[in-house]
Amino acid sequence: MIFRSKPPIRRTDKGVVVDLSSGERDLLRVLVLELRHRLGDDPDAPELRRLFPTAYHQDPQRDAEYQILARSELNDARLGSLETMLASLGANLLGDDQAQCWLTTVNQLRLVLGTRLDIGEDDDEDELDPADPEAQERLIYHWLTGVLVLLVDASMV
Amino acid sequence: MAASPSPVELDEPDTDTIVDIDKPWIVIVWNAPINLMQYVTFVFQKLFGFSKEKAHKLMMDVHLKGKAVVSSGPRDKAELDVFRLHEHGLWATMQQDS
Repeated sequence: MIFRSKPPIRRTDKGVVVDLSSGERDLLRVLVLELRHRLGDDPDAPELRRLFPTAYHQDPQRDAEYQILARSELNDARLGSLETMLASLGANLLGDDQAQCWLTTVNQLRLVLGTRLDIGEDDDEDELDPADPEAQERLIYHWLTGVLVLLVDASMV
Repeated sequence: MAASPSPVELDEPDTDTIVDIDKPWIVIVWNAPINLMQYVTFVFQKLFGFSKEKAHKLMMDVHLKGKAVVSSGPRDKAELDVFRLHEHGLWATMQQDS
């Protein structure tokens, strides 16, 4: 990705151009399908906790009320974005709405994977250890960071 | 604040603490690992219509000071803002302004 002259995801007059390889698209598809499965199957899983934050940090009772109402709405919104991204994963050109769904979904993928990997404030890509059993997931995490940066840049008007 | 009707129990009026219902609620975004700085800036612009400069300054407050107040108003509005921030994966909470 870094060797190409033009950013592989970029804004043009026609919309957001997506110039990812089929391998990159396949990886995104695997990750999105895995997230969809988790959201449907076990939304209370610890690694999804960043997707359902506390709203009333000083008031547990009100927060419980918020969670009852918000969780299903949050889940619906997430699944909606995720389905839009899945449906447009093969596209070379995204409309603004589609690009926003990619943006929020890739952010979720990164949040969930980062939570699983226990990524801290100062995690640095240069510190990747090939012997680390999580090395591959860390590589994917950093790749997702790159995709997210491109999507943010392409979203700025 | 109107309590939602419930056949089981009613919220008892809190007589120990005086809650000023007119006092605005503030929405706070907290620093959290994994969040990408550019993404946070973009979400502030998208949700609140802030200029890039203002959104960037608030993001830096979150990053360096640990939190920033991004909006305020009645409870309903604050809760909607919190929800939209949660929808975008940011860690936002709300409290009544002290």
